[in-house]
Formats: sequence, C-alpha cells, structure tokens
Amino acid sequence: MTEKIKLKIPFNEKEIKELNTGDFVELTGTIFLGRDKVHKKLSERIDEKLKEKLKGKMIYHCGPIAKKEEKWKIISAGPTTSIRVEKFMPKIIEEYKIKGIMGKGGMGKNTLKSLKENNAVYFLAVGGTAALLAKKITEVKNVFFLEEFGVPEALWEVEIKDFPAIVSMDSKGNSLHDKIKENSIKKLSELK
Amino acid sequence: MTELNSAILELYKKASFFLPEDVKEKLIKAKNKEENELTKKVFNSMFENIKLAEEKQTPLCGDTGTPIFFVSNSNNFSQKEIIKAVNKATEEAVKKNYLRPNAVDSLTEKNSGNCLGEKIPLIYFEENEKEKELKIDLILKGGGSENIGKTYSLPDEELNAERNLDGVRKCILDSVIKAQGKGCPPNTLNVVVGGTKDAVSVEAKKLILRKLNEKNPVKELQEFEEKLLKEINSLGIGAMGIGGNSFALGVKTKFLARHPASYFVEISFACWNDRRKTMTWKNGEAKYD
Repeated sequence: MTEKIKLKIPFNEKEIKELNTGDFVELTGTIFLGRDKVHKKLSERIDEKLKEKLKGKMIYHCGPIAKKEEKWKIISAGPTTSIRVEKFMPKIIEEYKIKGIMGKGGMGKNTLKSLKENNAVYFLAVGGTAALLAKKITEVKNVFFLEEFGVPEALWEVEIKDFPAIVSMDSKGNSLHDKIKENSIKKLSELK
Repeated sequence: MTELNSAILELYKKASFFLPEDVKEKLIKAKNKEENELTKKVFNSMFENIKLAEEKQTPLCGDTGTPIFFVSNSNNFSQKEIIKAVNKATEEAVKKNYLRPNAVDSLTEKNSGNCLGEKIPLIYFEENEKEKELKIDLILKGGGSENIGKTYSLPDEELNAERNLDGVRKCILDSVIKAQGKGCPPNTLNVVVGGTKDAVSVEAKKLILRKLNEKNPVKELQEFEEKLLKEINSLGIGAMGIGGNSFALGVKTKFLARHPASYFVEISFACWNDRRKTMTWKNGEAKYD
C-alpha cells in the first residue's frame, strides 16, 4: 500500500488507471454532492448543462447539512450508502463522463463493470466523519434542484481540498468490498 | 427555571455533537486491537471527527438520524404537553443545525423541512414511578445502520437455525455477513428475541440505551454476547468494512416472552456514531447523563 496519493479533479485518465484498491488518497478540486433523488433525476433525463459540468469530475454520495449566510456553507458532509443508487450509476457514469464516485459501503456488479469500461474509480469516504469532511469542503459554487428536493437531496457543486478517501473499487475490475465479503463468507463457513 | 422544550433542545445538541463516553472507550480499544493498517487510518479519521465535532460544536454525522424518544412520565406530566415540547425543540434543532431535516413524506416524497412528520420524532411513553420526575432518553438513529437491521422468524431452514441460542447465533452472523460495511461499522448489535414483530423491534431500539460497559444481567446471555462478539470480529470485515477485526463494538441481547407459535429474532444495528443521551427533568431543572 502506498502512503498517500494526491489527486486533482477534474481527474487525469492516466492517474485513474494507476489507482488500486486499498490506495489512500487525498482529493482536491470540484465535485458534486448528490444522493438518491439526484441520481434518479440525472438518469431519467440527460441534462446537457450538467453534462458539461460533471465531465471528468466526481459525484459524492452525500446529503449535507448546509447553512446559508451570505453564501452557502456546508457544515456537515459525511457519505451516505452508495448501493441505493446502483440502478442509476452505470448510465450516469457513461452519459455524464464522471471519473469518480465517492460514498460508503461500495457498489454492485453493474457499477464495477461500468468503472472498468469507462476508466473510473469508486472511493470510500469514512462514514460518520461529517464534521471532519465538511472542513475539507472549501467553497459552495452552485446548488441545483434545491427547491425540488430540499437541502439534503439537492445537487451541490463544491470545491474540496485534501479530502481523504480510500480507493475501494478500481478501474481494473477489482472491488475491495467483494474481496472482504467473500473472505467473510469463507471464515463463517469455518466457524460452523 | 427552563422551559421543557429548551431542555429538550439541549438534549438534541448533546446527542448530536458528543459521542457517549462508553462508545468512545470501546472505539479506542477496537483501534488498539486492529492490525490492518488501512483500517487504522479509518479510526484516525473517526477520532479526529469526534474531536472536531466537540470543538466546533457541529453534528458528529451528516445523518443526524431519526430522533427516537423513550419518555418515562407520571400523571404530573401530560403526554400532550411533552409531545408539543418535543416538536418545538425539534423544529428549533433543525434551525440551529443540530439536526438535519430528516422527515420525508413516504407518499408525496416531500421533505417537511423541519424534521417533523407522522411518527417522526418517534416517541414511546411508559410510566414513571417517581411522580415528580420526567425521564427522557433520546436516540439519534442513523438511516444507514437502520437499513441493515434484520428480522428473522425461526426456525429458518436456509440458515439451519433452530429455536435456541445457536439458532439466534446463526441469525446474528448472517446479518453481519449481509451488512458488511454498509451500516458504518464498528457497529453495536442490539438483539431481541420474542413473539411479536412490534415487541422485538421496539425492545431492540430500547436496548441501544444499554451502555456498552454494562453487562447483561443474565449470566448465560453475558457469555453468549462475549462469544458472539469474538466470532463476529473474526470474520475479517473490520471498521467501515475494509478489513480487520474491528467490525463490532458490542453485542447486546434480550429475550422476551413469546407466543408458542412464534419466535422472532430482531437485530438492530447501531453505527459507530451510537448517539444517545438521557435527560432527567425535575422542578423545572434538567440533568443530562
């Protein structure tokens, strides 16, 4: 395992290709926070304006707590469970050309396949560390669907700096989640 | 003298910002025992987060959960007034960002924006024998960990689980295999066995209130819990499901009476941000524990 890999967003294709599961990374650049409703919306109708914005970037599965003073400020930003949007993910990766997904718990077969086909990766953010991760969000640039979905379910365009995460599904078809799961099933069979 | 709703607002703040001491202690122990280097890094993020939330006075987690109240009151306190105070405190807690608005109408999909809705907050009442005292336990139950909870009905042919301790054990291990990293481990498993589905679910939620250093009063179950904890952690899932021996902080069990025909095993997972706080209200003064 390498010590710490610093990555810039929009991502570089070559850097994505070189990432392996178990790599510990720090991310800097523009990303989008979105969860259940946003994924349904984005996959049902391809939004040309957002397509332009999302290209080469990342969607972080996160429903933040945000406060509006002069500008919006994210005060809490932990990951939510990614598998709930499995159904929509491959289409979004393909259509919007995102190169990174971040969340918790990992994703399924279809996403893994799509990551491989589109040279993209899945990062695991440490669940429940919202106070720490909010500190890594330096600016809110835009918010979409706020009226329609409310604060936790809206699509937030934000800047992050040195955001810590772990590569848990790489672009070569490996999933740390699958590996751990298979291993745990094997260990359980040994217990009986 | 404080108003009851202000005291409950403070209860929300304490529950949302500060992790209970017994949970912190177990997390430290789990980290010290962990051998997986990547998982140790995950623990470091958790501890950094706990410290930041305390210092900056912000919620520990982005998901501030479903507020679940166990209220113990006597005739001196009207349930209607308590509900009113809880609702007022909840609205205020959202305005102050202690809570995220977590109440969505299941039919219209509209978020109420103030964390109030049908059965949110969820409030259970029971009788308090101390007439002048009101006791309120609050749990902030995260959605991710709630979703991995399971109800089994024994016997279960697929799991080869009979109606005995070993059958319950098989259910627990199965639920862990299915949960993996989805419910923000290190998890605490709250397990209740009984004869109606509603009884086991409510009691499993209530079991969340048992502190992690508090032993099961039934000797046989105490041993059962310790054995299960070891077995669960030997599965190699680890904190956040990325490998290691730190999947669970504790296993708590309770066995209820049941109808002869039924045998339900309910497993409610608490995430590592196992947020709970107790308030005792007497003569217009609140004490928190």
